[in-house]
Amino acid sequence: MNSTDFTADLDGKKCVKCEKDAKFTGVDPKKAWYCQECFIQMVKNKFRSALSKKKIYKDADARETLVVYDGSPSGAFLLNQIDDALKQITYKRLMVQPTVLVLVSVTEETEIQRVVERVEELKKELLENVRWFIAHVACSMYTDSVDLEGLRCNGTEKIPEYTDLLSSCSVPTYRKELERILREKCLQNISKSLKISKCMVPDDADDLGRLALDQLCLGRGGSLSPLVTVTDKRSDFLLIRPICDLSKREISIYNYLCAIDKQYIQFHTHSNTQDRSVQALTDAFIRTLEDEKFYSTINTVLSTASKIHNTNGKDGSRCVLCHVEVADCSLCSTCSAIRDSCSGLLSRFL
Amino acid sequence: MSSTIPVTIDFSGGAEFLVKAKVQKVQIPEESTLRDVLKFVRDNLVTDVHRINMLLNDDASEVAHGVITLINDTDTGLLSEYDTVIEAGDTITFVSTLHGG
Repeated sequence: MNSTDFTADLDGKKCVKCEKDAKFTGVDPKKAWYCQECFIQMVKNKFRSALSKKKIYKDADARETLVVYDGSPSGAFLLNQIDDALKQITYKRLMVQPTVLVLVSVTEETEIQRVVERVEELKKELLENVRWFIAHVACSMYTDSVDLEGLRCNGTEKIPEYTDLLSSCSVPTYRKELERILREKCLQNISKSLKISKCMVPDDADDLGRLALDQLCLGRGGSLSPLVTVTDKRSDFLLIRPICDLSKREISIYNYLCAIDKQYIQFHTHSNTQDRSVQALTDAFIRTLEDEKFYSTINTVLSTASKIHNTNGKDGSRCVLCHVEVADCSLCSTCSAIRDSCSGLLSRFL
Repeated sequence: MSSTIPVTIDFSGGAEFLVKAKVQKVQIPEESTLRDVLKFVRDNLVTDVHRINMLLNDDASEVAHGVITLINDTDTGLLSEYDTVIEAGDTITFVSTLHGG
């Protein structure tokens, strides 16, 4: 491919922000294309604007934030954005005091040990002067506060209980949903133990678009907005999703261009596309649409979902398990069904 | 016998775990398209054949869902996609968006 062909193939397309040749596209290749510098800037801007629009850090007393890193491209991107924002000396410096939480979901001992070793290497590369903790999602099984230690993977002693609970759930769709709820419960437990009221998660647009459709199928359509937008206020802590406007595609290209792709932690996870669950169907549905070049599906789903609010739970009553607003009972109907499919093991949380 | 050209093939974002080395300098037939390169990768570079579906589709006519292809750091969506003709010295990059977590 020489430069002459390049221009011809591009059909004269220039970056939408400057006059340079376009090299990368946004989510929809027909809508916007950028040169390398403007692409990087566009991705950074989406992260910063998600935080600034909601004025999350206007209160000087509450800047402590738990930043979750799960080894994924989105997690590595989030860590690097925080690292970069803290290094700025101008008005662009992000006023946040981060504590990094490496969230582990693999259950094999050797894999967990590999994560601990990898984290030791990563700590030398970025966010050197902040606290790092490693915790397994099984920390969700604690009902009291968790005593976190800095040098090991916390919560591994609860893995048998955690896997027993998930295995007791007889319906694959409910099992996947329970996994999601337990992940949030784990974050809430750890935030509470560390007395940090804000928690940033690396949920990107692709994850959240799928989640929106899953939640519609699970009957939580009325509470979609807080589940897929930047902030999700719970009684005692705030979930923040600063990369909710960025697709996996944008994040992966950015990571490649900025050499962040070396900071992933590779887990040997099993694909869930063969599961007979609503979540697997949703994933397959979106993949098919994207393969057929309906690139804006996720954006359309998210923009619609962000406008859907529950009007029944205005008195602040929430489901004790999933925290969506409910009208007049402690457990939403979906969580009641999950409880019934778990042969009694879930009752400890209710 | 047709002549060959030198190209560099780079695997990133987790795709490197499916092949012998992250960056590989190889010779491919002259006037190959990106589609021909996919078949070359399947036949010559992939070592983890059980997980080849994470990189290429069944007949290696396209990349798997979630894999981005770049030629000289330019998205192939802005070129002629799979019909883009590869030239000597080009770098073809496969970026996986789904590995890592």
